[in-house]
Amino acid sequence: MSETKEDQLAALLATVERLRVERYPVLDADMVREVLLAHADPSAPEIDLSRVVEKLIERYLTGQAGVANA
Amino acid sequence: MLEIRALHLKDFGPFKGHQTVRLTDEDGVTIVYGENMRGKTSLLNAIRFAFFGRVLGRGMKSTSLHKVGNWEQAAAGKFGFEVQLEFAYEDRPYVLTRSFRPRPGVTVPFGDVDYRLEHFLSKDGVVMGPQQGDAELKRILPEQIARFFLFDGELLQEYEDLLSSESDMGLRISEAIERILGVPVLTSARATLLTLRDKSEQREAVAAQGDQKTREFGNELANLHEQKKVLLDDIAKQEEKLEGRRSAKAGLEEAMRKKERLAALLDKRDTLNRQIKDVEVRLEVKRAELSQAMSNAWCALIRPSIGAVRENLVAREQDLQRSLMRDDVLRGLRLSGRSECPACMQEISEEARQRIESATHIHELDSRPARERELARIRRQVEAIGHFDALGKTDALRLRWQGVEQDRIDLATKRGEAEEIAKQLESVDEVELRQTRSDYEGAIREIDAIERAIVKARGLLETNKVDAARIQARLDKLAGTNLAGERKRRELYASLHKLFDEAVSAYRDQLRKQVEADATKHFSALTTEPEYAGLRINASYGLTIIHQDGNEIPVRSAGAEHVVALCLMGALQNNAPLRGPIIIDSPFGRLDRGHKRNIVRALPGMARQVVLLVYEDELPPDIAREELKGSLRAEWRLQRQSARHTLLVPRRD
Repeated sequence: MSETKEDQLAALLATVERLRVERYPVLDADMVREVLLAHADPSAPEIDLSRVVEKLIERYLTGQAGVANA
Repeated sequence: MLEIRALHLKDFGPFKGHQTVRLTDEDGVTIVYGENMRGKTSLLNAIRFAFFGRVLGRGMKSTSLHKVGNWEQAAAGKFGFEVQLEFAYEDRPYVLTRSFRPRPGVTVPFGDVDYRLEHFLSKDGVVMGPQQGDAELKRILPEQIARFFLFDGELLQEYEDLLSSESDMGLRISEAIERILGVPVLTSARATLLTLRDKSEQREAVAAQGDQKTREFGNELANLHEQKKVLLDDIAKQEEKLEGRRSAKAGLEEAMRKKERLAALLDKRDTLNRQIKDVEVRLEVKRAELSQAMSNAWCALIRPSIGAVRENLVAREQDLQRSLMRDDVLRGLRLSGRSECPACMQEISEEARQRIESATHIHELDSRPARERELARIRRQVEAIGHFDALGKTDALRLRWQGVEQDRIDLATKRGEAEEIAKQLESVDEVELRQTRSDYEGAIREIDAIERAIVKARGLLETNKVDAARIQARLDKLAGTNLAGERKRRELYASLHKLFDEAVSAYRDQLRKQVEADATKHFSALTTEPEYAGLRINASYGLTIIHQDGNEIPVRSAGAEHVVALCLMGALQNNAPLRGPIIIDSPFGRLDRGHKRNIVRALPGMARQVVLLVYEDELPPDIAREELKGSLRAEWRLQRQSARHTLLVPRRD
């Protein structure tokens, strides 16, 4: 039962996180969370969402590369 | 949480002048009583107009706003209207004002183009900019989900379409349900990741083309990606076309549903017209027969006198016949010389023989030829009178009259029925009605053709996918310049896409279970049938009644449909973050007293703010007061002033 939009978002995040842990543990939890949160604003245009997610992934990959180089 | 505080109407529909309905901020039910044509649906439409600038007429189609203004005011040369809605959202006060006024310079408008539609929204007493205001309104109540807050009780049966995977209306409603339940957050993320995965695959193919070792695979992959792009574009176009046709079909389905009664009337009228023609022909034949029979009807007038004459003649005929027969017997006896009577076989005495001798002699000499002539004449007269007698028989005539009368009554009844139907169909555009049917059939054919084209394109896409996966697998075994980075990116997008794809299914399953459980809870409170155990949900959020033996109830009445739809409404309110008022127009029309009571009792638990627009026979005030008790917040009445003027007054009886 979702009393508020926050409750609903929490339910969505919980569902995705459960699946991530069970089936895709290699995926970064924060990255997955941010991808979902980026889509939680229904007024965001599709093209912007692509850019936002692309940036997120690039940031994540750069971060990973940084860790690997360190 | 959206709560309506007040609705101000200015010349909207039958609400002439400035009128206001205020709603309390306490949780509970407000009832507005109004007989038919007093403006219940107009109140629902006023709220719809305030939020979306649209008014829905029959068949859920947008109505010309020019026709919505108060007619009495329009007759006095005052056109246009305004609705102001005071509401609270997330505990912040809002005022939404929307008006429809003639454009400057237009004194007598003739259509919507002659008006200007304007609105503004204020929050916390501050007027918001147009774009900001519109975005805020979309956030507060998106039009796609308005059906779950503002609904016409007469349309509740459309929720039965959710049980059919074939129905486009069902598809639309289930999309709206998923929207309200938050599924688009996941589906939108899944779509983004799919697009990015595809882009990454294409970039990887280009990178592979730049290296000698991987060029061949890169080229093949690039070609496949190009082919995929063409196929996807084609599918997207077809789907867009399909969406348009489905939307049209859903509209036509709704129009057909609304016009179902009119279509039935048209069929009935056609049947009646055929029957009228048959009866007219039959009546013509019967009238001709009656006319023929009537030419001899005068015989009936002299029939009593002729009867008396006939009786005398028949008596005389019998006398003469007896007399002549007696002569024949006696003469036979005399001439044969027999000693016994041939009739009674008794001995004839000498004395009797003498008398026979004398009598036959006298008769022979006397009048036999004259009596024979008289007998022949009487027989001719009796025969002639018998003919008149048959012609003058009134029973047969009466039967013919009755036959004609019966047909005349039948004809008059059928003509009356046909006229009655014609009156009901007077304002109906028959051509349009038939066109709707034909358009509907056309839409089905088009949808079928588009769906087949999509299936074919998807088949090609699947082959493309298998081919690309095969080449990608071979490419993955090779290392190349610039390939590693893109490969990693592509794998990441692919994993994320799979995760969100699975999340969509998992979240939907979870939602369906919750909606089913909540709807069942409502159903247990609403149903009057103790053997019904609950409701079962399908993939489209359609709900089926389950018997306590575990079987589904395959067919349900319009009343049961109504109850199930209300359970779905209640369950959605429980599971959606967009909480709002439920405003229902005529929700009890098809329900018996028991269900009415149960629903009225359950309404306060379905939403914090409920507004019922009802007529008294539909929901008698005593039942409402008895069942709602403290949850009944206010009662209003739509008081008739004239056919085009209704007053909104608090009910005080």
